[in-house]
Amino acid sequence: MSINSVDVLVVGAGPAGLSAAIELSKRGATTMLIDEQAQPGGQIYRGVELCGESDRKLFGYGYVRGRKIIEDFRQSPIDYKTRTVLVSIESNHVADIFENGVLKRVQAGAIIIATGAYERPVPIKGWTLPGVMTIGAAQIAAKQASVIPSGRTVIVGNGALLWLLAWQYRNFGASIDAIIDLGGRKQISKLLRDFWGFAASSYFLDGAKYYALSRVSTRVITARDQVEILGDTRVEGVVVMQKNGKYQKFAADTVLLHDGILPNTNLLGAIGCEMLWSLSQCSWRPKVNIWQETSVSGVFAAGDNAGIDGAIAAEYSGRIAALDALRQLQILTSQERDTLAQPWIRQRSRARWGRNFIDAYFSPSNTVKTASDATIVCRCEAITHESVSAHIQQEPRRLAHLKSMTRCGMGPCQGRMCSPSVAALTAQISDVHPYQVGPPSHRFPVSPLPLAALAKFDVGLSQDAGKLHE
Amino acid sequence: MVMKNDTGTTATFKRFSPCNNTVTIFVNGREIVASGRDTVATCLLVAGELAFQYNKASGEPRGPYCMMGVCFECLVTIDGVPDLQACLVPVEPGMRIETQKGVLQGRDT
Repeated sequence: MSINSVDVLVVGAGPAGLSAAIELSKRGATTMLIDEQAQPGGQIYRGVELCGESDRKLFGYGYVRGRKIIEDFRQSPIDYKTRTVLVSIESNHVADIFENGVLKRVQAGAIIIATGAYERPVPIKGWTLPGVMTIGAAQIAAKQASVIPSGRTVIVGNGALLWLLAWQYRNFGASIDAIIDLGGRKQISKLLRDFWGFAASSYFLDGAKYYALSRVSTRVITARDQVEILGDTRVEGVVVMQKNGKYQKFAADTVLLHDGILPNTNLLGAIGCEMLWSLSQCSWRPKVNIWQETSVSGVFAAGDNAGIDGAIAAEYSGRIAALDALRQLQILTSQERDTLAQPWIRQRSRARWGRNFIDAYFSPSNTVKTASDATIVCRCEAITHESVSAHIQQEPRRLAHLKSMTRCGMGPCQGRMCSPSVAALTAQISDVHPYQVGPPSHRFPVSPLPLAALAKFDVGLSQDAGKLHE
Repeated sequence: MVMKNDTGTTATFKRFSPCNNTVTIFVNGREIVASGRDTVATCLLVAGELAFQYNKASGEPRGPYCMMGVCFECLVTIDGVPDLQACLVPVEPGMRIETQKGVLQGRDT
């Protein structure tokens, strides 16, 4: 079998991955960029190439920016593989990728992982009903193909993205019947401390506009108690229940959920990168140095999968990772790297301004803690809150045991839809801090594969090939 | 655009901007004019399909949740290949898409 050899393998075509690949190829490194999607841009710049100019503006400046990055990317000599996933990485930067139904092996000098973020799952009763999707999903449908709900739409949740979508929906002419705000009471003292950084940041003017406009033009209900989605085979409505037994009901054809976003760290976890708990973002992220290099030598994490810092910081972190990869490949000297990186390191810090305020203002609701017994926690295997809680009570803090006894986390999503909830429940029931529960464990392959592809995989003479798929 | 799906209910998704390029595809045997920008998932939503598959453990209907390849709730059969993520596949002319209504359909393949 011929092994494809490249200087750097970049995983993910969002702002971090694209910027890294542009920088690498510009300085003469052979670069392969693989991405799950059919088009470049990740989720933030989804569909930006094919979106008409007038439509693009309706999404706001944060979307328009992506056009320029993708133009630069298209002009760079990069081996770009769409609809391709990274399956596993062995030592010495040997990667197995799944492209067009075939497993292939790539030998890389360094690997930059830029797999972005995904939305924190929002387990409330009825969240598995057809017609319920996330705020991010709604944005993707709009960016991809101008698709918006046509019926009664109710938004439930908490987070900056929620208010951005509400503003975008106004621009598209999509109506929102109600926003049920799950954002708890704000800690004023902490918010004041971080406010000035936010006021000086690029988020301030736009963010305040989206928030204020949406709040005044839409019916907003602040819910501090339980919320459930109603319906039998599809969503029919939302009910907000109060502790005194009163409830408010809203009819709905579409329900959009949100509770902030999480670094997508499955791949980094499986590689064995050391993880840190972020107190302000309530999520795991890889430990990285100033060059975005993880605890595994030559493996970099750039963009939101290294901690949620937003699309602009992601561009700089991608470029900075690329510079150190170039130094490791001896294309740049340390001195050249430092000179080139200096302005970008400053820009990266600048782009992080305001993040602490946003994190504190929209600290996650973690709906799982108040969810009712019948609420599904693990969507793939349809495991309820009741059975997960019962198991945690019996066998405290033995997550591997929970997996093997209930199949929770064993489905195709590889635990991404349940592990944050299981960890929050474990912390609550065992009365420990979430970081004491530890990061979820991940193993290769990190994407489901057809057995036929594995059977046909000719690993050639690679010495430890057998170990990989045992 | 108001369309009726198999169960006779009205589609709950529409487009805010007209399609410049269209492609013709088949959803459960029904001819559908999709946008050239569509993924299988966006085109099914506009065509009035909300339940894409039935969960293999519980048999409950499920539809797209994340639209970005993470949740695996939008699995459909495309040109005879089962359990493909509708949100990751762009539409192509003549494509035949079946929603997965059988509880065990697609399992063990």
